[in-house]
Amino acid sequence: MQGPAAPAPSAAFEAPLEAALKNVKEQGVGPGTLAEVGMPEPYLRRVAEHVMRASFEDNFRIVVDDAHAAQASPPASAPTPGAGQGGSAAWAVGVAVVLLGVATVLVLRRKS
Amino acid sequence: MRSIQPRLACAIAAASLGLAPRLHAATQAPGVVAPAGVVAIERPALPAGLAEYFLAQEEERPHLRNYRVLDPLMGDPRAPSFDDAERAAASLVHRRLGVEGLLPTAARALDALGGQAVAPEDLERRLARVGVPVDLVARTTPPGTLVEIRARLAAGEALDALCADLAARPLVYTPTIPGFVLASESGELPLERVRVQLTRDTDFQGVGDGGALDLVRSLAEALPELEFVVHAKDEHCAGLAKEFAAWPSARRERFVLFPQARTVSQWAQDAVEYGFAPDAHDPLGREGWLLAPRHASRGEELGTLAPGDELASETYAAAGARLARSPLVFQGGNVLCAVDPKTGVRWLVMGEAELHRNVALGLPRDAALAALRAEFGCQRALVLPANSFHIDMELSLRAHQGRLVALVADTGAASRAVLRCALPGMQAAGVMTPEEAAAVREHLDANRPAEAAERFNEALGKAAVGPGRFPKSFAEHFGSGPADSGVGNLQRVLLALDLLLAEMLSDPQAAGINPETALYLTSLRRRELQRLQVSQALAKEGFEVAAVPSLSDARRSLATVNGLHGPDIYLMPVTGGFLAGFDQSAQRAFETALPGVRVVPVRSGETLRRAGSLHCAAFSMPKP
Repeated sequence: MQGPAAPAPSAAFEAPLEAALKNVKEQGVGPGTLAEVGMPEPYLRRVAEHVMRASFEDNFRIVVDDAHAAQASPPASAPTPGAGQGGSAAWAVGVAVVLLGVATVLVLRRKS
Repeated sequence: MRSIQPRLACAIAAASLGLAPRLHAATQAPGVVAPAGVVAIERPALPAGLAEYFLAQEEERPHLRNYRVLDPLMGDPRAPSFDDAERAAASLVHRRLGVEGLLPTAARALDALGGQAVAPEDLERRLARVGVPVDLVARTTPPGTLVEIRARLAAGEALDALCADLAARPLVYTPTIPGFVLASESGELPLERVRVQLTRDTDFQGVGDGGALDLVRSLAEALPELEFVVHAKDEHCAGLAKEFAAWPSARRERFVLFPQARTVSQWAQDAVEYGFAPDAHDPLGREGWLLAPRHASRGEELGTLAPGDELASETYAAAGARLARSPLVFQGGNVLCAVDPKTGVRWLVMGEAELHRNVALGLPRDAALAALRAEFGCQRALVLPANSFHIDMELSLRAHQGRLVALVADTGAASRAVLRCALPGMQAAGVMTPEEAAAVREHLDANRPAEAAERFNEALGKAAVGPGRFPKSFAEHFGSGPADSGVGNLQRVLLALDLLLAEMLSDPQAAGINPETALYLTSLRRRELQRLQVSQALAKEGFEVAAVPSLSDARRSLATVNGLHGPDIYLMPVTGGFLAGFDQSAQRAFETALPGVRVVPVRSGETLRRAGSLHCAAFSMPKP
């Protein structure tokens, strides 16, 4: 990897990751939650990153039927690859989509 | 441990040579023409209730962590009906077991259940019922430990003081199979026989797609002498027998098919481990043992049950295979064994999840690590972080010319190779001119990733119909035919571009990229950093680290490291088709890292799109 280390990200920036971590920890396991099982935080954080990345890919790195594509709006705000920059409204929508996706990915993730 | 009747042991030994007298009448699936003896279908008689036991299970987390397959005390994964004291004890066990440890938690649970009110002969049952893995107590402490705890509670010893004393007591693990050593996967043992699990009897898209069936087809083509033990649901067996019979085969009874009532997953690697142990019947330890975990599971953290895969293991055991069940939890794909050719040291390299799962069962970290090492007969252990999923998607180990080589993913080389492959698709889709494609190629060749990424990104933007969304008609330009998924390939291309961007942008947040994408790229950067740390850890332990083009990213993986080693051969998973150029660059890298080793491609494209690959799907059972 090139370049200096990244500065510490802000709390708002990391919100989807923190949401994923919270969801991972709050999963029901028998009489309680996963958070109570005693698995180390760095591991659960790595799991949360898997969930967050999968959620992002499921929402922003996808192929859609051409019929849906025809109805879609042009890429006014589009994350890379293949688009421009989103403003704060796009960010809010993006975060909401990723947060929603996190919950879905938590349910679905496993080798299929 | 399962007792093995000599008759059954002899039979399976003969079966391993392809000469098996059938334990039970081998039956032909209806409508199948006898395939000149290439395919045998075995339906061993299962113990009463076995199939029903697994048919009744959901693919969910067991309610209590002490669930152990077929165990008379802990063999029900469903939530029991508790009285108030039991409910309190179960909640306590849930919260304390992984934090305070096995014995203190047993003491607290016993106290919650009424202490001396629990009869000594009922201790195990009552504690097991609320989630204490009493089998692990028996395996790690002297006999009578639970009775001693009860007596100390009855004598009025303060609970906290008792727990502190118990927490300091060493837990010394006794291996399930005395003398067992995990079969090394570093290339010393021949590839003679593999166990596979097939989810269907047809290809996902067509011949060449690298799905469950095509992977086996490709493997059978690559190694004409390789034998297959195949597990599948009943309804698929007639079709599979027909399919196998149509493939060129160099030997009789090459495919032994075990039909079963419940479907399997494709992941034969995960539900059992394989190794050798000498015993009175087999003093040289030449017959293999299957070692199953406490319960087979899939997924991260505590995992969900895999009852179909358990039924496959038990069916194989019913046909005479030697199977023992460990009280430990593990997923086979997250455990690799390699032997250092210089020192003879047997290494256990595993993903951190395996350690954490056993800590959650009440073994302190060091005790859990020692237990796993002892269970698998390894002298040294190395625990790696869960960068993607299982470690077999991250690296492969090989003893080669006196060195122990760790082949790790070179994501940078992989992403560049994928982008090179993508250029014809970009041109065919009309979003790049030949001159623009040539310019991108030139930037990639000259290691100017920023320029390459910028041009590529601009061109992709012409096809996007929303943020990161592309129409199927565009994706179709990234496939080379009906068995090659344009959608899957485009998704790999998008990943490759993201990886290139993540590599270049030290601070994606400051680069003007919208926040959700910046966070994603930051996460990709963190993962790459962790991969570097893994390589450094391997090098520190004396492994020679060789980087090869490989991508591990769940369903977008191109994990060339997820292959199988044999003497002088490496079976490398490939996607083929549109991404054939990527495969070739990986093959060259393997050949350079392992001079003299034949690198043989095995089609795995659709399997990779299901977040696994060759090593996950083909469970090697070599003979020592």
